[in-house]
Amino acid sequence: MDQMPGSSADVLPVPASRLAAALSVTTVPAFVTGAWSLGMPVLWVNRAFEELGGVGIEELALLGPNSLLALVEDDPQRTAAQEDLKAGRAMRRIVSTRRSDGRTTWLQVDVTPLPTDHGLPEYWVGVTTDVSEYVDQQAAQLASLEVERRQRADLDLIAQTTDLLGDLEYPFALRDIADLLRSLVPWAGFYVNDDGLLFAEGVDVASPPSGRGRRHTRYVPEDRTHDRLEPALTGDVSEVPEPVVDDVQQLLDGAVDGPVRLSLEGRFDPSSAAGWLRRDLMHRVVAETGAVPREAVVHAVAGRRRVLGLLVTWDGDEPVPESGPAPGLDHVSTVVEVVARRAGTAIDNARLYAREHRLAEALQRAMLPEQADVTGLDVWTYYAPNAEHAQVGGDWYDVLQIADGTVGLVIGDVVGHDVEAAAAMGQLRSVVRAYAYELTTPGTVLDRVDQLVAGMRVPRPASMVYAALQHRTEDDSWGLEYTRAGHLPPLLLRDGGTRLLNGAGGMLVGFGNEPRETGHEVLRRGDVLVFYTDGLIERRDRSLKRGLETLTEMSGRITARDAAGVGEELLSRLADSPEDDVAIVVVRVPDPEADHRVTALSPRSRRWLLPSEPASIGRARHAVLRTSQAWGLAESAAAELVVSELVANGVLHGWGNIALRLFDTGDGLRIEVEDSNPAPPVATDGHPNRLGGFGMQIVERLADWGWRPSASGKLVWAKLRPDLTSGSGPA
Amino acid sequence: MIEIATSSTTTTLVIAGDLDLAERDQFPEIAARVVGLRRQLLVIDMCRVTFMDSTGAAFLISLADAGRKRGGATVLRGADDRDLFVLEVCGALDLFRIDTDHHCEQSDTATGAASVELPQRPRPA
Repeated sequence: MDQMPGSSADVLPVPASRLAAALSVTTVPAFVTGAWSLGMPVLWVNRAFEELGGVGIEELALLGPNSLLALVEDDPQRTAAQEDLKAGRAMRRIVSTRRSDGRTTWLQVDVTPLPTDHGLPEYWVGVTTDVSEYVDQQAAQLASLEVERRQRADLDLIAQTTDLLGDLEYPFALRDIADLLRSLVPWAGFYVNDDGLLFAEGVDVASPPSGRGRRHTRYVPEDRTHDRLEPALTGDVSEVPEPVVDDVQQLLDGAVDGPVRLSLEGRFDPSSAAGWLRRDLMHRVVAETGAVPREAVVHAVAGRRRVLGLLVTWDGDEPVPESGPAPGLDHVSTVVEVVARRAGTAIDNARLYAREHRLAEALQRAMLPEQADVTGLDVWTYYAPNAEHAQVGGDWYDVLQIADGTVGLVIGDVVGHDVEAAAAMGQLRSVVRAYAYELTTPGTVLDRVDQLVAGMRVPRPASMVYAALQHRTEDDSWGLEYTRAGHLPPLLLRDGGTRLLNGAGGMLVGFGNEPRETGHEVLRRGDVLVFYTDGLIERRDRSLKRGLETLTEMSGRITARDAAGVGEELLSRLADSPEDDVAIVVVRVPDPEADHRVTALSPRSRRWLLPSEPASIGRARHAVLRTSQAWGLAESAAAELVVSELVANGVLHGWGNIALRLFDTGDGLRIEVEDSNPAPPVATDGHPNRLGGFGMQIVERLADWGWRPSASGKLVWAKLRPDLTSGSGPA
Repeated sequence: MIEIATSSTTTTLVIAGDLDLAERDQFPEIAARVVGLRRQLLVIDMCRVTFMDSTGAAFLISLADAGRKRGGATVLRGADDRDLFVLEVCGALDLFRIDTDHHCEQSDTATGAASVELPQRPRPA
């Protein structure tokens, strides 16, 4: 050591030998090596180094050149560091080594060349520092950062999934969710069980999957190149494997919670859940990823009562380590499970909602009076169930085309507003209809109804009027026969006068102990008949008699020349805040000669109640067209388009019946469409890739529009801009 | 009512009546048949269309879009101003070649606004 070239010991106050001794006993592990070209043989190590490495200088010498490398286990920066050594530059690197006690230690190794006068250094001095703690800390930090990032990504994915599930009407909701999952696994897809498994890109909210079905036989394209296992479906029965427990079916049956792993190399009965799924997966995964899968993970998409479908993922067939699934796969499994559960709940909700909705709609439609189109008469009907009650009530009407030139009219009222009243109404209605088509004389019809109802245990008392109109071609008049069962008398409006048709009265339906009478009238051109229920005139603050007087008086002032106008005048004067259900039927005998001559002064507003069905859209357009013509409004082409879009929205997204109202504001037509769904209308329904979201944009281009909550739902209004020029509108 | 006619290069779709939500049930089948014919040119004859709203427009757009994806073209013939307006609001005019030279054979097939008689639809009183 003393001969070490370039030693600067002589300038130090400590002798060189002392310095060497100091180096030996320092607690910093240190060593001296020879030149790079000699393989940097270790020439000297201090005591601390011996303790650290568990080897002395003799053992190191035995290892030969590059002996230091033998001590190193992991050396991420080797190449760069060796470049430095080769060039004679000082070097620092972090290596791991196994200590004498067996622990792994991270060391920072500093190797510095001793100064030399000529060329490359001949001696190197090395110092090592234990940096395990720092390295571990850093690793832990990185790992926790990674975990955090992954958790954020997972949460984000679940949040996006929730968004997608929030709108199951979007036809590709499940496909988009599966696409999201494909950031975690190479392949993911949804299946629903709807009388057998079926790959699903979305949920048909109108008829969501039933979750039932144990035979899975939907067609899967055959691709035998990757699939050597499938026994030919038509072929050898002996090829069909022994029945084994079908894990996938067990999952569908709710017998196991899952997830289950489905071997795609196994043999299954072709129409079993596992067999079908295996076939479909082979086809899809090969087609979409190009790889041939070996095993898939199957999660149940479970609703409240039963499993509705499956969420299948393929993890790329990464080998599962013996020590259980890697932490990375664990979180994938968790996310997939959460997504499957949420999807199950959402589909289940859609299923339950669709069921309720179908039931309610079917009942409501059955209960809502229908108006047949009657030739030769101008008929307008109106029915408003009391807003405080459900959309069903006890009032009803029927307009029946019994034969050519024969029309039957029914109006009736069952006591009460509840479902029982509605059910009783439904029964009565059918009975009356049945007899009306068989018999013509109203008294006889009602006699039969009485007989039948008395034995039917209809739980509520009911009143009604039945009238039959017979056309007489010789003078274009209509013969009217009617009978009343405890119901308010119809009104006959003629030449500005009003008459109550209060003949042929009798007891409530089912209480006819005596034969029913039949009243007779003859209707001339321009005559108007008004049938109504007590909701039109009944108010808490006045007697029925007063109400009837008011009705008669009001009717005398009606000037409208069309049935819709007559109805409108009645409603606007009498029933603006009805306390009960209201049903009205207005029948007018058209007067082809006079109707064109006289301009009616009736209010310029009209209303219709339409059942929630696509055919109502066309009816609404006709109503607008006719009204626009009657009022002499020009922009009917635009009005038709606006009303079509608004009513279509009501049919598609609204609940219950649709009320249509038209007003002539003097500054353009105002259209109001009301339904029972309180949710606001959607302008651009949020899915740029979904067609059909343009309805409200069309409305927006043609009209000022808005909406407000109404008593029973929402009301969307649109006021057509009167100044539509050719550039901005279709008119 | 929608009729499909085809030649070696062209599929012709003749539409009559209203094209709205009430007709939607038949759209998928017709779209599938038109796509299945795989002709380069699709001609949509709108001369006898009495009314079209955004639902009907969406149907035409889906046809034109499917054609465009195969490199084909869609010609719209006999569409009135209101139909074109609806397609324009849907941002889909570019998908169609509008045949402006075509003259519809029947004279009473003008816009739905002018036609009082609408076939096929039950007429409410």
